[in-house]
Amino acid sequence: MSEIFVVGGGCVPVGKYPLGSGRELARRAGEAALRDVGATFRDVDAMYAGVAMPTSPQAVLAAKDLGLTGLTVIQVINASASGLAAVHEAMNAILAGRAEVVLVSSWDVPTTKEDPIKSMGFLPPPALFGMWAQRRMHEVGTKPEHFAMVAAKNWNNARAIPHAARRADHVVTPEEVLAAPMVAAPMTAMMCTPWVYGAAAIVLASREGLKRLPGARWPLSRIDTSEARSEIYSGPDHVIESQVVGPPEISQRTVAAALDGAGYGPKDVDVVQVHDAFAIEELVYAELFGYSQPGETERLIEQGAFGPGSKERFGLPEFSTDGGLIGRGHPGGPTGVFQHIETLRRFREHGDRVGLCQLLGAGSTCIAQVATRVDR
Amino acid sequence: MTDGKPFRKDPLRLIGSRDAQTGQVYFPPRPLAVDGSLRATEEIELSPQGTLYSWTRFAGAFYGQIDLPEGVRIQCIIEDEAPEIGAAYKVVTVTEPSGDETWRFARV
Repeated sequence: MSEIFVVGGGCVPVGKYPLGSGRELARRAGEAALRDVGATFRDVDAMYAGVAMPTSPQAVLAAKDLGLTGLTVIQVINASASGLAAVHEAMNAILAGRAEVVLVSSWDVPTTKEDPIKSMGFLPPPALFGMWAQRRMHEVGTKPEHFAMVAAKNWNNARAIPHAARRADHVVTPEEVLAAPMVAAPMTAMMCTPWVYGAAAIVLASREGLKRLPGARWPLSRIDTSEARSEIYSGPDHVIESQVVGPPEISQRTVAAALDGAGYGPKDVDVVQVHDAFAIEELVYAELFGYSQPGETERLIEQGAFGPGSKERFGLPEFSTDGGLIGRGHPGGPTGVFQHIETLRRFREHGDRVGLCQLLGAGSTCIAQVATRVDR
Repeated sequence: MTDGKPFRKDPLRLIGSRDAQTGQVYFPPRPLAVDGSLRATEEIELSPQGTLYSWTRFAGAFYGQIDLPEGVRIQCIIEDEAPEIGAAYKVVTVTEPSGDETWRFARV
């Protein structure tokens, strides 16, 4: 099967931007990604754009800002999973032999003040995940302090990331997280992703396509598998509609399939990026991915598992190393692209060998992708 | 969140649907079974009372998930000041500021 490499990337910092500025951000991110790999827009066979907001087809406009070269332009809308969905489709284009070099460009800046979550009739996301957390505390005895530890880790991871939305000028403590204003009990504001915008782009290429990219430099990230799933009816506890996302087991099935397809088990993974829009999620996903059991997870978090040095101390991967959705921020479209930028950074700067990216999309979908460091 | 989700008055009941072959009950009602077979479902009235599975408070409102005896979980705003997991809640109607009548669950 053809190898698919993440060759390089670029972005604009996650933060607040004027409504309607997404096209401009997309141009800046796309240009940065292409310059990172020593390419021009003329070297690109296709552009896949993952955009959550706005929902109007603006990818072709963003592509034209980079050049009117006649390439394939496809826009994918899959809520928070839009970025990984665009990567998924870009991979399909390479695997089908239709493209050797693909720009995956994703951005998120709405053009109006419309709330797409509310307009789709979903429960407010903080309310849903607040209920996940309340039930978790009832069943397992999890304390708000555990959610605060997860959030503090992600805030502190973001401090070293130049494009992160939340870059604290001090070490964030769980106590500070707990003292933040309450959003949806027990989730405080510092346990929740901020409402922010941004743009990110990566260049994908087959091994043949690398010949067109003189700026490519080893090691690279090779995406071995991409699994995109939707929910399966789980029984009487299944809330079919008005959930932003369905039962958490969707992540279990999707990630297990992605790891299995790549020939890995959970313990082979060094670094994990997840849909940590709310701190409860990261804790739950660690279990669903096969790293710990309810109750054990809390003890592991207390000891610093899933944070810096987790692999050496516990044999467990680090989670949300760029701050995740809580620290780096979560513009719905590009978050998945940011996850691949972070995976490549970890491969290059920390020597990690296997990475996992996972996102959920409202509705609900789950996409998981497994990447391996390739040194030459 | 409860907009357009059907209910019937006198007595107040939420309207769901049931797959006669599996006994699975859905809310809001859906025309077809969930297994992809395209099997049609039948309309049923749901029990007016259930137990609280989980809750939270967001933007000044309490939200909850209520498990009904038919085997269906309802998600909605709840009328309560100190929600308690496992406690009994019943469906009630409320009139929104717009004048529209809708439903919620309230502590029994």
